[in-house]
Amino acid sequence: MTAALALLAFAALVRISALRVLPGAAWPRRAPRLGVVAWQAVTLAVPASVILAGLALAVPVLPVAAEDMSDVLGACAVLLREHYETPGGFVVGFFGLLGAVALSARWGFSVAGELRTVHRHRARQRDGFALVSRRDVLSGTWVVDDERPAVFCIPGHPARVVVTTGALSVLTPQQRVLALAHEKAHLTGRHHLALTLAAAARRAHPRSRLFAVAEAETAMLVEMHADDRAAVASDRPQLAAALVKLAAGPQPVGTMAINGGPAIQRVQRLLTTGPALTQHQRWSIRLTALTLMLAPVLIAAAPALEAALLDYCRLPIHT
Amino acid sequence: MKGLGELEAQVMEILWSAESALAVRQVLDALPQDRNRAYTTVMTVLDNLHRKDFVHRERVGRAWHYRPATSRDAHVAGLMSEALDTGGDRTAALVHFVEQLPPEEAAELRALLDRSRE
Ligand SMILES: [Zn+2]
Repeated sequence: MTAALALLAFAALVRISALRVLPGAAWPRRAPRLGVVAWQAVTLAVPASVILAGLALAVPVLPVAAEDMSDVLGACAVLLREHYETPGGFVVGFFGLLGAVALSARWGFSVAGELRTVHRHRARQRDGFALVSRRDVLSGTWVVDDERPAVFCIPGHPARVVVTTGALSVLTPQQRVLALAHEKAHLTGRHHLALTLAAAARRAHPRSRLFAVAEAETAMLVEMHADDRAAVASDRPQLAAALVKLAAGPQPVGTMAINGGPAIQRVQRLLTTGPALTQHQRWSIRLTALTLMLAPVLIAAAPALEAALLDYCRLPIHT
Repeated sequence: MKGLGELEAQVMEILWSAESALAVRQVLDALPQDRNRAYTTVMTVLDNLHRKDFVHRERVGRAWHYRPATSRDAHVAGLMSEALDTGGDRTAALVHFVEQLPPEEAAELRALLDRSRE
């Protein structure tokens, strides 16, 4: 019971502090890849904790689970069951199990569904563009005749970078190189995997604010990471210029907006160089993400480990 | 099977510029004669295109005749609007360089850039 409650409390804590701290923090924008890792850790730690909480409740009512765990840990099954004891007994255990299975299934279906959608979408795009694109061997891209300026990549096997003639006509040669380097950074950084996980989480819980924010932040942070990989310091203003040309189109407009969306934040970031994170800061972020991933398992296993350490079950056999 | 993709594109161009549905033999004859291409290769390509829904086919006598599912312009327009549609229930299928912005944000973006150049 204590383990289950601790896991639920942990999930709530992670959720609240992620929403409070991460979106406003400066460091994810300074180290975008670590920011992505942090959001992924949060995205996995919250459902994992809740699923494990359900399983922890179910241990006493699952004789097989208790026997197996006692075999592995060398602890006595009776003791194990005692350590996971719940006041509600069978009913609570049953609902715990039901909840854990339901939530796992929901995530399984969401991930599978997202992968299927994405795969189908990409295959259609890849096959479709293959019929109408000119291959530019030098830059390794597909050029499609369309006046709308666009540069994007189709991840997968084989991955493709697609450029429209509209984009080529507005960008300078240097800007083209930078835009393509940005797309290739997406591919080598396997950004689509992070985006797929974020999208799957949102598919599993469409109304969750946490996963909505996680998806939006991940989308922006992978862009920033690709920007960083594409351009050395001296190239950053040119990359910003390329970004503005493609995002804003050629014709000037009179009005102004107050708050900045992702593209504006990226341009601001490219035009002003902030201090990099120290190694110490980077390691503490990595360590926190790792802790987020390990903590649910440790909390769930704590009663079992305790039972294994106590070990007094064997005493009667020897006497 | 290297080059089959390129052949698919060539065959599609032939079908797009044709006035009516074409038989395999007609497609084969319309292809550049620079290399010896087997009838069965063209048949395979047309079959692939049909499986991917890029062409429709109808039986004329004992042979299949193929025509494009849409015009070339509609094909490109459909792909492009799908590629550029990043709003709503977007998937992580494609990764863009940057998304097209609404006019107000676009103006701010330009102003930002201009300021940095001063
Ligand atoms: Zn990008």
